Amino acid sequence: MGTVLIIDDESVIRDYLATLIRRLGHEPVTAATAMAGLEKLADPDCQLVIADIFLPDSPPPEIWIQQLAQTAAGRMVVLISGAPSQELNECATASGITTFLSKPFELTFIRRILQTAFN
Amino acid sequence: MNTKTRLGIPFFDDVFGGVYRGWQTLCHGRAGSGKSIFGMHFINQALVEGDRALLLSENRVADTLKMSERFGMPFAAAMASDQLTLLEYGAFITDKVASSHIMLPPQAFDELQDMIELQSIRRVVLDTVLPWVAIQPVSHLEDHIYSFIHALDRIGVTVLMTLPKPVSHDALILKNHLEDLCSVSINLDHVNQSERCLSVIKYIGQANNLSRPIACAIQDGHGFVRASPDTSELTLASASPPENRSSREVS
Repeated sequence: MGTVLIIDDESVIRDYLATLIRRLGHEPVTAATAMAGLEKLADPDCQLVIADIFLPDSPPPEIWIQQLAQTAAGRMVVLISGAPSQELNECATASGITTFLSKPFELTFIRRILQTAFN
Repeated sequence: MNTKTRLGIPFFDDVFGGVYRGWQTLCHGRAGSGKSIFGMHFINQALVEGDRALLLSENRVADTLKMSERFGMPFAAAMASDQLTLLEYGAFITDKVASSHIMLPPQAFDELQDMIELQSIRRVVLDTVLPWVAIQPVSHLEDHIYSFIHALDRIGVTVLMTLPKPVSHDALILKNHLEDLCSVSINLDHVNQSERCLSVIKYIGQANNLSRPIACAIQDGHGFVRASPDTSELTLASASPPENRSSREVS
């Protein structure tokens, strides 16, 4: 069992992911803003973070991705978005983040990612 | 680049070597142009190769089985041996997939994914793809279709999707977004009751052979067959060109 932090301003997304994560036997922690997310990510018990790229209070996505990667410090980060641009993909890869999930269909693959991350 | 797998229509496979395994092929055309039969060839090829396949169709299962019998495809036996799964959209998608809560994946997609993975299904036909991708507002279409295609990529199944000929501006946008993300795009048109015209609009990695439509026909016992050379001239001259053909970029 692991602790998974979900950072998304849409409550419907947070609830959906939290339900999935709980059903798979893990502990979800949620944050609705970038600032709250970074605070909760400081907790070393959070082993994986799922974060929306575009939040009302987040800096430009390139900065936000770097902040996430630095605060997560070696823990797995999954980014969720609409269709990510090539620039965002490159920025994420440069920060060591390789997993993008596009809304809505790819969100179902959280199941597979959790199995890989916690097995 | 992915490896290829036969589409199941010999005259197409002889020219192109099939379609890309694990990727998506789009087949679009007017009503009655043969899109469903085209999809059945794709399923039948899976059966020939010993793979499991799934057909999700707007047609009733009984009608699909009757059609398969007419074209010499052993769908009933494949169903009996669990090699083939036939589903009707009406029964499969009970939630309104594309119009509400588009932030969330529809439950039907979860079920489709589970079915494909648990049964080791290698080929899927979505006849038509519309229930998954026809959303409003149209400004969300690009992200929605991107997500749908990339989710299919992640499952790793080879997919053929059919799409009716677009008759509105929004429908044309939808078709263009799908075509942009599919590795192969094929247009079917019909000249008369039996004659058809197949045009390959896009084939990633292959710019040759795309300019000439292929004259073909639908015959009982065979399905799609290439038209005899005698009738090709007439067929090609009378077939209407696929929409946007000249404007689509072929990479």
